[in-house]
Amino acid sequence: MEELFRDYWWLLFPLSWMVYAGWTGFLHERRRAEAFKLIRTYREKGQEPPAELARMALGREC
Amino acid sequence: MEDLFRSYWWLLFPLSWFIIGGWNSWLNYRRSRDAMDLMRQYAAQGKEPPPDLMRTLSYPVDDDGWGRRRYRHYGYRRSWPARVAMFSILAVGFYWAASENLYGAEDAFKIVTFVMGAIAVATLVGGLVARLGGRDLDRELDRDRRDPPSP
Repeated sequence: MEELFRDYWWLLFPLSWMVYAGWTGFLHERRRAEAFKLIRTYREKGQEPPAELARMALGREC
Repeated sequence: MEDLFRSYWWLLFPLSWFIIGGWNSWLNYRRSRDAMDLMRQYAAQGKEPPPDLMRTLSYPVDDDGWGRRRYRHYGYRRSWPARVAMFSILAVGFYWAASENLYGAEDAFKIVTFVMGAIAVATLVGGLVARLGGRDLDRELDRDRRDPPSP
């Protein structure tokens, strides 16, 4: 097991990156879904949703 | 096991960076979710949410507080030269450590040198691109302020 780790320790970098990217992607999508829900609340009340909210829902916040 | 730790102790630093980054992402997500909950209350009362609350939504979830990915924000355009300098100095330091075979970890220090150098170059290129594209972004932001995009 130790020998295996010594041969492939460098795999920790791409694997960590993939886990990190998956995690942030998941959070990003959840936030977008919540922004859509909030926009729906504004619409139901007949109000105009804020521009920042619309941008976030469209994934344009960065 | 102890021998393995002595050989790869330095891995704690890059791996900690991933863990801290993931934790920061979770906190950023929580912050924007709380802001949206608050906005929902404002919307229920028919009130306009304060601008500072709206600003909370403009940060990406993977923003690490250093201005990374904040290409739309002026802070990034101001801070990138300092980051280029920092990662360049780190790369030189680790190169020196590799050339001196410090702690007998020449190969490990070479890899860290390469990573630090790559981050310095990427930050430099990113900063220059953001600076060159800054005028376009400013125009886009001004246009969005005048004419907010519809959902």
